Amino acid sequence: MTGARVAQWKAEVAGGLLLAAIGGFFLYFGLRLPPPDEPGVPGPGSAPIALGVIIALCGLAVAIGGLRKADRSSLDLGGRKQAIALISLVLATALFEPAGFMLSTFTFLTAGFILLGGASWQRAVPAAALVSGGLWLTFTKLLGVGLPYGLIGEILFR
Amino acid sequence: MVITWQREALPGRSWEVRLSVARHFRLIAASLVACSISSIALAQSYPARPVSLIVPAPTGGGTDVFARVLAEIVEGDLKQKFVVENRSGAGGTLGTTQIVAAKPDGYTVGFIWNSPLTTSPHSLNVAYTPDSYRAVMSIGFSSYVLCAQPGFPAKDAQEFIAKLKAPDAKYTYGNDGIGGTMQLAAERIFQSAGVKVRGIPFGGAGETAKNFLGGHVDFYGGSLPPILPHAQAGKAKCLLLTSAAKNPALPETDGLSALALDKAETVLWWGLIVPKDVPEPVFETLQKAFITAAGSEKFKAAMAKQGATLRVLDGKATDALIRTELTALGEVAKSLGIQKKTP
Amino acid sequence: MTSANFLLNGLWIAVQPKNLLLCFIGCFWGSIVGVLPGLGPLAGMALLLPLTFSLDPTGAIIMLCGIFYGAMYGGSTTSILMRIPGEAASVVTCIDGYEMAKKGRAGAALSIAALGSFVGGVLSVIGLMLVAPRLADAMLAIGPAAEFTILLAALGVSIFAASGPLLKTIAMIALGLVLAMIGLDPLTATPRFTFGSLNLSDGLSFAAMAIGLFGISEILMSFSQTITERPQAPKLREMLPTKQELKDSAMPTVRGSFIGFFFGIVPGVGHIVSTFASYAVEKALSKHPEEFGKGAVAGVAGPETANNATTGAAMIPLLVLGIPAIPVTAVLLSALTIHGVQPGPLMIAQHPEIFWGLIASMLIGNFMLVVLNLPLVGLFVSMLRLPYGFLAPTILLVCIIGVYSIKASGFDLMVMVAFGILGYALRLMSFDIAPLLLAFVLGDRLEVNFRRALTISEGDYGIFLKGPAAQVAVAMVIAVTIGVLILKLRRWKAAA
Repeated sequence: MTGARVAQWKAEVAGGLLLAAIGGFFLYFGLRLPPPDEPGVPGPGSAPIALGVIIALCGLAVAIGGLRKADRSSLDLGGRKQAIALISLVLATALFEPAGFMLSTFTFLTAGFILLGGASWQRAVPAAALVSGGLWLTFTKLLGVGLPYGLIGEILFR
Repeated sequence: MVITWQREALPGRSWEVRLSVARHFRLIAASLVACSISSIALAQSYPARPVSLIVPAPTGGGTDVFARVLAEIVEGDLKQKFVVENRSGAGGTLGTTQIVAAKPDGYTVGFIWNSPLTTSPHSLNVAYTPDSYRAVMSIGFSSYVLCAQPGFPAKDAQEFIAKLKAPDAKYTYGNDGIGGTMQLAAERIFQSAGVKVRGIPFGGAGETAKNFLGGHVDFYGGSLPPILPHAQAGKAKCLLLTSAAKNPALPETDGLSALALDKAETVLWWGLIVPKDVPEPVFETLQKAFITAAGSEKFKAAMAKQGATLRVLDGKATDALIRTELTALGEVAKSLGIQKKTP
Repeated sequence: MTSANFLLNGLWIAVQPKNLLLCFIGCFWGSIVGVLPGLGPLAGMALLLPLTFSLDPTGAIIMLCGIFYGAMYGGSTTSILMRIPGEAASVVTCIDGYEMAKKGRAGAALSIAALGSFVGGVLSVIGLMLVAPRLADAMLAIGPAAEFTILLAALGVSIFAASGPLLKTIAMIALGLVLAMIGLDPLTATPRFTFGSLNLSDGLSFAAMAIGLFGISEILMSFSQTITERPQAPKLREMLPTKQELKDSAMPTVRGSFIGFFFGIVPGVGHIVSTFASYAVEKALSKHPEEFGKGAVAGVAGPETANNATTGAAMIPLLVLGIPAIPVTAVLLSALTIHGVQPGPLMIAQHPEIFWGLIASMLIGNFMLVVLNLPLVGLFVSMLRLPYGFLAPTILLVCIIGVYSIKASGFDLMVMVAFGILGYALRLMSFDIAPLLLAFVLGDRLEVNFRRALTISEGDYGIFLKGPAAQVAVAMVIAVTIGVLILKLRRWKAAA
């Protein structure tokens, strides 16, 4: 399965520039940290500043390397399934605490089984219920981990 | 957005269902609930379900062990589970923030040591003051100690300070980190005695002990347990405690009384706190149960084994202690140039 | 009495039915928490700690040590099957272990990891018995200056162990180091790059980062790949290692034991340093270095052995000095003090039954674990038979729960997802992410010890050459640098 493609050299340039920006970020905020208390002894900002410079230089070198690349191959950035996996993961983690374990994991698993695994409703729903219930019991009862209850958890277990 | 509703499920037992969008909204929701629930009904049934005992320190430390021993005793008394949850981080302020922001129904209580309450607020922007929580009780304290290498030419606190005062004196001592209670305790003494020692911050008393034993710093500064076995084996000469009185675990070591510096005492102590608006009957139940537990033989033994001194105070006395200590350490931090820092 | 007598005495204590049972409970429980991502030995011990209050001190420490050992054995399972490192020590296993699983050799990789762990565990216990006091002295000699230099050497080693181009590897190391600086500065308590958030004041969570970078990014990758590039469940008769695989892992196992044990003296980060060092040594000595990163048996056997051998060495500061070097030994310390036993220089004389009983039970525990783990290989591998469309969402969910269970922090979940996306992007552009994680783990101690050393010396850089430990460390850095250069040159020449 193939998704969006981009030329290899363009990706290298973009990645290098991103890295340079990360280096610049640490350099900028590192310079704003308090100076060393005594001369000759590095302070809280010294290491981040030095590392920020190294990262920025490496990033620029990678970007320049990308520009000079003769290789015409292209890179697969990913397709529909990656997008689905990523979006559902972001939603599940964002809703994990507010909506509670039961609701977020059950919805996440049902969606995952259907959209990623191509399962039917009839199979996905019971499987999702079974897995999330089983994990809930394993982690809270056996391992003593505190998982967020949320609405459904409060009704069922409290 | 917070949706809160409640209904009477069983006579005399109210329960509520809630959907909180963000954790800190819980406080608002909780105060609404607390106003409406009949507190008498609550006290009769409290604790009706397991209680979370938040410990803002990592598993296995002194604070954690005391919390677990206490929890075990209180469980037998109140016939309900007290589940210890370790929420360490940011010098204990992370877990303390969670305790303070918890729903004030008595089902979240916190077992803390004094540092996040009286020391950290001087160097960190914390979201609580002594007015945003209520102290239930405290169990006792343990002093910090300063030790020198076995060959150090001093045999008691007087001679120790005299050596530090010498014009060519140039010593280093290891402490638990800048802005921590240990550093403030030591600096408070050095200031009062008019001496200067170069502080080297380490990640904790264990790391300090290791570097002291290896000869990388001149003095050990930290809690008793890590250095005790080495003092007994003659690998360290402990010269001064940060408490006014002596400690039975180190009978030869002077307290601050020997230097007439009783007022500079700074110790490590432990206690129980709850969110501010916990219903009075619940507060009373907790105070009674934990004070009883702290007085039990089992707990006394646990304290003694860690070299700590039992001194049980009730909520009111603990609250007063917190407020005085907060002010006193604030002055030390200020004179050391420690300020609240923003990134 | 001689050591042999003491050991026999210890064995007699360890084989008491009650102590055997406690050892088994510990090993079993440790294996469970070790297999689950996020949960590690610390979580497992915390849960059973109250139980030990009612045991005698020997029984208590036997059980808790069993958890520690068991979790170290179990940690490699998810690394091999799903490319999820349970903890810092199993990052290296993710590289070649997972590649072996892709080739359908998951069973062999798990068996070799278990056997290597057994050998490493047993040899390190023997080492503990023979040279504990001397190694403790060496540990004390390492001050802030020497520690900085040793960690620098470890970073140099990781450049060689990495698979990507040099420029990109250096960028990843620098990025890992600077990410470690987020949070409160340990020396001045200045918040760095936290932007006022208490969540960031302790820095980024290693587990969230590692699970994101390796586990989440791998699942995202696997959806664009053809089906054959996912881990394959081996046929039943291909479950065990072949003769050739066993032969290939023999020497790495022996070398890994020694590397692991001696890197145990590196304070706090011994596990990850020893695994990387073992990987680099195997890659350097191998006749087929190009196989590393593509499922080399030695790349699993060496580091997994080193990992467990470090566990034995990690006990030394606790037992000989009474100073816990890692959080796990801090729990053991409090379990002992609660019973009135104070570990330290006098413990072996005052409580020989605890010291020797523990040593003996470690030997027995390692044996129990290998017996326990080998049959489980089949069970774990059979998970790969499940359809991937079912497995992938479940793995993602277990990652979420695992990360959440560490600190009950919703923020850590966001960190995990963010690093999942970053890891995916970096891998697309052939950046190697293992050095990033190593640098992240070492970064904190590297910077702090550099500054601490200069604080002690008041800015005099001569402190990095003062004392035998510091001098040996500097010699190590020079040796590593020359070694890396020579090997790179030779490879480069061979390629030309």
